[in-house]
Amino acid sequence: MKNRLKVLRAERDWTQARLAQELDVSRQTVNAIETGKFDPSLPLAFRIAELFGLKIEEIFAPSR
Amino acid sequence: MEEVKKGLWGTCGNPRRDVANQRRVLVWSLIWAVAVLANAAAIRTEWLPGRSMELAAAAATSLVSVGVLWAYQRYLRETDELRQRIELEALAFTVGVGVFGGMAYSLFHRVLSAGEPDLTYVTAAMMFTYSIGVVVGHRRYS
Repeated sequence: MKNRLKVLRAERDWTQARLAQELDVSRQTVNAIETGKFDPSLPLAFRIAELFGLKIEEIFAPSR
Repeated sequence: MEEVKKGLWGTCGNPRRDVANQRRVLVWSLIWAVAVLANAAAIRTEWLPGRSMELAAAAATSLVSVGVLWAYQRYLRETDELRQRIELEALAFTVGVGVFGGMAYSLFHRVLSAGEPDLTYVTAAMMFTYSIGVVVGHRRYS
């Protein structure tokens, strides 16, 4: 699954650690999502979307 | 590699809850390891007076192992989902080694030698496999 997490984070000038803190996950998790090594669960995807004020589909897209 | 080390030691931007839970598991595991070693030494040297004392010491060690399980389950339940994935993969690998490796070892041991197989080797192999599984998991997702 592709995502725009890195771009959205950069727009806010947040570090991975800051985003991890906001989401209550480890920095490793944020890094793994950004690099596409790990797909978040639906609840975490909702938390991410809520944090950035976007819809899930505006952040995540299936990789084809 | 630095990322792997930090991830393993819970200092890499981890939630405080995870760090506290990891420390709890570590402390309980150390107490358990010391209790097992002390128990084994006491039995070997016949340091404890009587069989009832040996049984009491074995029971106390078993209670400590319940503490390890409680701490580990709490860590698994409360840690973030990537850690849960890493732990699940490591545990699956460990169960595979424990069940299939243990049975293979048992069969070969019975064929090649007369005595009963030593479960300590299987336990040690499972602990080693789990450790390797966790390290590999952290590398994979770093």
